[in-house]
Amino acid sequence: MTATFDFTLAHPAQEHAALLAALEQFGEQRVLMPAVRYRLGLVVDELISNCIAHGTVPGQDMTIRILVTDLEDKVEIEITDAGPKFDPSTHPISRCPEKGPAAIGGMGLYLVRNLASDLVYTRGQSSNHLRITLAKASQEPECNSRK
Amino acid sequence: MQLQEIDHPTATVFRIKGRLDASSTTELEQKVLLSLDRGITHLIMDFSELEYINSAGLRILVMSYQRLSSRGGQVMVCGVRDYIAEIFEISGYNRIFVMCQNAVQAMEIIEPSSNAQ
Repeated sequence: MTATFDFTLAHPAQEHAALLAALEQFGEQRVLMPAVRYRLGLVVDELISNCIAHGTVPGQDMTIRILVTDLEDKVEIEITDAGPKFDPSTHPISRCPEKGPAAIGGMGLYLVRNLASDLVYTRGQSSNHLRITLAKASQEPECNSRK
Repeated sequence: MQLQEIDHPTATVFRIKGRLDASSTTELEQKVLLSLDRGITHLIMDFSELEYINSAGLRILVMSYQRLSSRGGQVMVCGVRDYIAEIFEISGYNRIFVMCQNAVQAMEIIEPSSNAQ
């Protein structure tokens, strides 16, 4: 059976922690595996942090809506914000980098890109819309790494 | 987040319980910076009771690595739960930090004759 989590941040910086606590509770209620619960919280945390850090325009509406749908084999996250155009899908992806560790700058988006099994960005008339899919099946394991 | 700090002659152990997120990274960063300024050589992060870490938490470890590697020291990360270990792997940070099973093992690596807590 599917279930949804719907949360709107009118003041993202002040309400960020409450969102993460509510999302963690949703994950517990849905008995999501610890790894899926962690990925869900981390992806939302990093994207909202990014909106707060880079998407704020003084005097402009900063409302962010987070809609999470728990499905049988995946979790879908939709994030809609009224900030300036920003497309995270253009951020580089390289799970398990071969040439040493990834740079710490941009690490949040790097993790999002690598944890998501799918990420689709669309720009509306005055809002960003992001749909991220997290697979429930365990992802590619270790990179320690002979592949 | 609950934070316990244990000082040894050349290393400080930070034992962290709970969530290391935007609301708690500042406290950890300040304490880590104090340890680095005191001149420790190694930093041991005991994550056996850590439930959550985000990129802001990782940033503290990388900053510590940059400071300590210039003085021949290491950042040692211990007891990471499987679901958290994934982000050390995909970021490649498991290759710059010393990943240990627990703090005792970390202390044995840096002080082979010691009996750490």
